[in-house]
Amino acid sequence: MKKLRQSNLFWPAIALIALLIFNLVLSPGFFTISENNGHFYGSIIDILMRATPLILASLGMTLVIATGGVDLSVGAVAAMAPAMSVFLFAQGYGVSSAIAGGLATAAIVGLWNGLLVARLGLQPIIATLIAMVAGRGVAQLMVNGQITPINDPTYAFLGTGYLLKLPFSITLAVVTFALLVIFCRKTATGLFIEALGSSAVASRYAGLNTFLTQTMVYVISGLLSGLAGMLVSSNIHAVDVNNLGMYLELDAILAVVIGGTRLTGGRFSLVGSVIGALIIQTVSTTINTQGVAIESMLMVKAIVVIVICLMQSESLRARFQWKRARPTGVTS
Amino acid sequence: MRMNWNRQQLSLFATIFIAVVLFASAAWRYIGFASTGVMVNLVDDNAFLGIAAVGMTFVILSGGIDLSVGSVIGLTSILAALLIQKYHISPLIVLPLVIVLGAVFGAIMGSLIALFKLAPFLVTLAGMFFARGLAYTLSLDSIPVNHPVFTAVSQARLNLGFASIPAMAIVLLVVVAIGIFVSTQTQFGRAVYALGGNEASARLMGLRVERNQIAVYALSGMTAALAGVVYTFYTSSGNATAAMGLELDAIAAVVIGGTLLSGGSGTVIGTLIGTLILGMIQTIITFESTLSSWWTKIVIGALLFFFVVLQKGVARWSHYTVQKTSKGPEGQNKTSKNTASKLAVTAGFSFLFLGVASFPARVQANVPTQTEAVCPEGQYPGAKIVEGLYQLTGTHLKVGQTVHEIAELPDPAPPYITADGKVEIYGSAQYFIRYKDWNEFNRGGCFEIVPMNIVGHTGLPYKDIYTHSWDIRKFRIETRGQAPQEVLLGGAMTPTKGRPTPNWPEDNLNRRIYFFRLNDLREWMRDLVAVMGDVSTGWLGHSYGGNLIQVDAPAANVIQTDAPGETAFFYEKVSEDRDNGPYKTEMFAVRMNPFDKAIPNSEVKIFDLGPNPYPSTERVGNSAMIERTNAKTLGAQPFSAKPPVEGKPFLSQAQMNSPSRERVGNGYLVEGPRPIQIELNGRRIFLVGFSSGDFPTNSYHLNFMWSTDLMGPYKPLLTEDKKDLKDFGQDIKAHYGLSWVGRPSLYKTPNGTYQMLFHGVVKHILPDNDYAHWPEAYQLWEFFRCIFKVDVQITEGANGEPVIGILAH
Repeated sequence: MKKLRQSNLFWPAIALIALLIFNLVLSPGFFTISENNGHFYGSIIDILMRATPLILASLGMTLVIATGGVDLSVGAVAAMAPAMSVFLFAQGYGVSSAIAGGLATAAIVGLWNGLLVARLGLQPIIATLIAMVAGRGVAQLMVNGQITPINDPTYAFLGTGYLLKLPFSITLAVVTFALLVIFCRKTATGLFIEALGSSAVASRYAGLNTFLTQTMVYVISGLLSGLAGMLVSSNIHAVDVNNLGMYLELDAILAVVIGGTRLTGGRFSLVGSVIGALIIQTVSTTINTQGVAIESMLMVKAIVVIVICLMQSESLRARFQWKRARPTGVTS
Repeated sequence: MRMNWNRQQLSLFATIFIAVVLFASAAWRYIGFASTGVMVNLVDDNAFLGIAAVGMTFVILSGGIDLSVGSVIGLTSILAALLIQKYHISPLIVLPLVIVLGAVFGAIMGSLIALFKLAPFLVTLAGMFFARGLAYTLSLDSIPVNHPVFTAVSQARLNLGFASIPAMAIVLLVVVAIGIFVSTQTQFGRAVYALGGNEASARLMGLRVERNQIAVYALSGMTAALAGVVYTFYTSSGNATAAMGLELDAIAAVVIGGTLLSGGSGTVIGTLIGTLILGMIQTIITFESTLSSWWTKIVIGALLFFFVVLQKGVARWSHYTVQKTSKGPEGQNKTSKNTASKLAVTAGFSFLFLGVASFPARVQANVPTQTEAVCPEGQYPGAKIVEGLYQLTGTHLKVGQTVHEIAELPDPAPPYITADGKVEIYGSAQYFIRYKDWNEFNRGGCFEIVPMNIVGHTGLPYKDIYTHSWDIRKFRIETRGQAPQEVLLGGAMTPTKGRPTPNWPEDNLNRRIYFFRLNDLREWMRDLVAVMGDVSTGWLGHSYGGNLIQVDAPAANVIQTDAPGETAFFYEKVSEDRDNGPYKTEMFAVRMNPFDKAIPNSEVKIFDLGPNPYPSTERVGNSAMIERTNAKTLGAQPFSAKPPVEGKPFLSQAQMNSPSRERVGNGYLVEGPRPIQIELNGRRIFLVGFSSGDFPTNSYHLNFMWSTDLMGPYKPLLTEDKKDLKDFGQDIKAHYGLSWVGRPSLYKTPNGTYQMLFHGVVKHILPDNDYAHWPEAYQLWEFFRCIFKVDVQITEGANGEPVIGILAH
């Protein structure tokens, strides 16, 4: 039990479970999954499906934060990738080129961020701020600033299609997650990332290719944000460059921090970030289904951020432990 | 290199250099840029940004960041407006109160950061969410402020002889002066620099780190709240969505102003210049008529990149000079090689960046710049569809051709016959079409497309198809003993935020009806004052199009100033708005005296939709089905987030059926009233043609209403079962493959018969004749609206009402 409690995932998991139980009490049919037209429907499926863009973005963000960086351009990239797809559609390209082009755009912006950080040594927050500001402008340029519809059935399948009775986007998120876990944990990549985040100087002296590792995490973050943006646009059959992905970077950072990964870098937890993203989505859905004004969502988020930060705060913990030190020692 | 410049001075020098180059090139390129008016506006428009950026400078100098400033501006703005308007508390109490609250809010964030060692990024992010959420909870609607103290201050100007400076610009300059003093002359200022330089050393020096950190965030909260107050003055309203994303602009202004984002180096005066650079970019982009507003963001991104790299370079250069003295030639060689490779990488990136930035934009609509001759008969199959029905424009269209490829003239007004017998047709465009005489027009023959020079009240031309004047109609004003005067009447937008020309869509809220008169340069210059209605910040009153009518006038487009006949002016306007968008658009009329001044309080709603509107006035096809979350929490600025109804894409069936979306009713639309006076068996009757329904779809109708009184009430012509407005375009749509048929303009021909002009989309230019298959890249309203002419017969019905017959055989 003690080991379990020491796990970084303990508190996030408890929070998610508590939220789900809270929902079950309020609406008994919360966990019901019905089958209709060969598809599964239900609140849980709905939460999973809506959380997929955020999950994808926070997975990429986790790796960036683990190296001690941050990627502010996530929302802008989420707008750029589908904008590029729309642009390619308009030029008469097929759906595969459009999707590939969108992802390539996202990867290029990620590469640009990575090179600024790893090669020029810019602070990540500034380096990605540039892409954040200019990226949305470029996205608006690609589609002339207008909400542009996408009617391709294959593209629509990304966000609205069903595979094995489940929404395809869920499958996509699960596969991405699995690939990323294998990539990080079954190879030394995860270790490299954690080493870099713990001490860049030490890892360089240890012979780690810090340039490659650092660039790579930004490319991954770019790619996943682009994919997230394409899911959103596919779901609404249109690209709204002015609003798509707005504040996605902030939500992703929030999900990562809730999931137990420190903003200062080092150890990271991909599962934690997924749980973090699910918590954010569940809170949104709960607020929606309980008929509470949407406006209060922002305030709830703010309080959650502060509470979680305080829980992670070493200086606060130090104060508590100093007070608790003696009694704990006696009883155990 | 004996110049003893440190990093801070060099950065500031680069900032000043950029500002000067930017200003000089703009002044050289655009006439009127280097005027005191534009400069004063530059400072005034960016006052709230500058004030927030001064606070941000202190935060960044101390090594922190404050993401909450934009939200604090929104919260302050809505709170101040609420307290003043709803609770009737004097602004003299409210304004200091909200500024203190802003400081307290900042101090709380500062305490969390300083005492618990939390990341400033996360704490101020939470602050951003909290303040915005609280602002939304206070009020989602914007609250206009009209307290006398408020209006007095917002209109106050300091007259310096060569320029008069608005109060808000003075506030900015005072805040900057105080900022410079505090940062350079006080203990607190030096502490801030020390903190950002190295927190640990600052602590070892005996600096009270926590206290100063809290003070820095309190200061930023206070300046943000002051910026919120200035914003409220600037817009004369409180708005919870105000300054969304302003924190990024403030950070950009600070960085471009030469302050190091990692802290410890920078100046407040640099921030002021950085703010003005941002403002100048915005102004340049509005002057450059071919550039869209998003170029602002791209240029700011490029400038940010330039400054960050420059600062890196400066840091490396000072590092290199140190190395040179300590390590000798070997070290020098290595470092310079390294620097060269890095510079090469930088150049490569810049190139790439510019490559992306010059991405080709989609073609704008074709606007003819010189007179073009078009002959439907010679070149094309011919204009006559059947006896009585003629297609005047667009006879040569092919599948998929849109307004991007050819010039269209939607919303045709009744033909204007010039003194020498030419026939001119005006509509919503910056050009009109002209036939050499009535016969040529009547048989749908050759015409010319003639561009017009339409300029705003500042003398600058309206720049593109969305901002030009809409629904134009030409009138001849005759006064006995004087040469007749020609005027145009139409809807036009007024630029806001100090811009010289309007932007679409954000200025669409300010669309009102104006007269345009020829000036000495043979340009049609817009009057300063609208015919009716004020420029407001809401959709209410938003109106366009205009049709004058004088009782017993000799012709439909003629007004005689000394004739006894009453003159009235017919128009549509938004009479109810919901969710910050137009919900109900209805038709009104005012009496005029003389022809160009509305008589105050004479406005009459000429057709009341009532509690149970006629079904055909409902908008159904392009309903705004936006997720409420998007609209309310992410909807960003009221000006840009939701495009006006005209700009909304036609949504697919799948979207309309999607259960995850809440459908927001899109309201009711009746528009384009075109009055005409007719004689029916000896009785004088006024007939008004109008359109109703769903703007860019098949459910857009040709309707008529009538009255024996000029100012109504008007009775609509209904269907057989009396349940709905009769759509006079129904048969035409069905028989001749047309859609989006609307804007009927009834007129009397020189032979005494009646005809009608209207516009419509020819369905065979839609792929597969079907809306469902139009190309992804195009929105429905981009399809070309052709002008049609049809013969009309008007007889008297059983109850004395006019019966209209469309004579297309």
